[in-house]
Amino acid sequence: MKKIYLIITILFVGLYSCKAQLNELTQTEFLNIKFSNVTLDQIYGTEGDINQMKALFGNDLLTEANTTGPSLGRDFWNNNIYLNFEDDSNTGNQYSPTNILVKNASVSVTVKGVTAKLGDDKSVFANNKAINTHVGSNNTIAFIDKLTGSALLIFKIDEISNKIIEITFNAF
Amino acid sequence: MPNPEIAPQTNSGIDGGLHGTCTRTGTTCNGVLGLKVHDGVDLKNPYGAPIYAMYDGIARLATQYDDEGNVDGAGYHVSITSTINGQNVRLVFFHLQESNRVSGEVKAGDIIGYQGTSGNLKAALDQKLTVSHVHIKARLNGQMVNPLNYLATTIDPSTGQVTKPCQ
Repeated sequence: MKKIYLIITILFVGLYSCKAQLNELTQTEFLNIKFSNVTLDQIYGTEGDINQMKALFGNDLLTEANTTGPSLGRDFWNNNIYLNFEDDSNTGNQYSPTNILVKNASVSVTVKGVTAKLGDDKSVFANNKAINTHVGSNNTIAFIDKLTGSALLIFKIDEISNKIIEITFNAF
Repeated sequence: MPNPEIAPQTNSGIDGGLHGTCTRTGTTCNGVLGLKVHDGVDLKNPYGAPIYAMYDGIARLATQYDDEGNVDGAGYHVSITSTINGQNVRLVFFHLQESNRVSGEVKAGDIIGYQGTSGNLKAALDQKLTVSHVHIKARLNGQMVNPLNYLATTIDPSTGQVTKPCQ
């Protein structure tokens, strides 16, 4: 009997360790991720329109076509944030954000009610019981949209200082 | 890759690697808000495995970058333009290794590169969202089409199951 318990325990531990350690977000939580005061929902809503993006991020936002990828691409950036949109349809009217990179601590990111910025200690998440603070692969605290499992918000943590050193959003 | 398999989205459990499915986060897909279509196919391929040209054609190397020169999105990729049944078809292979990619004239069966983790695949693998795969896009006369149309193996486009193995 002990052997059976041991096998079950090993199987359980094995399965658990294979599963990604991610914090799942409902669609509402996902769309309410904020980059400073701008929600992801608002960013999606612009569909990469230059004027709407400037209205959200300010008139200092620069834009340029990104021609390095196989689909139509459009970059937006200022000193604080970079956003890339792609239109996989190549029609020019279905732009969707695929990559967001926070450049400095002037941009805070809010997820599940917790606000963090570059340089913060990872413990900012620990005070919120809704968030599993397990630090996963490559020392990251990652959030995923539960609906598709195809978009990630990642806080990269420095192993020694425990500070947030990178904040990225990727939609695959 | 004689009988390729579709790579899954491990976290959601859905067959996210199929073409034309509303399995990505986006604005809208087939009238459903919050989703976007997956425009290519993801075929399982272990890291380091060779990737072969499917048809004779002209290969071109490219790399997708962000504004600061970091490799992003499709990563190191190879696009091959071919004439198939009198039509102009472009097949693009994503997430390769930077080195040993081939450009210029290629023949079907030539190695055009090796499976890597470049572009956004690395973050997906780090977080165990999927398994190692090559993402293939196909454009027929400039329009997006299902890459499965160009495989020697017949794969059901809705289930991802092989229905007729490669002969």
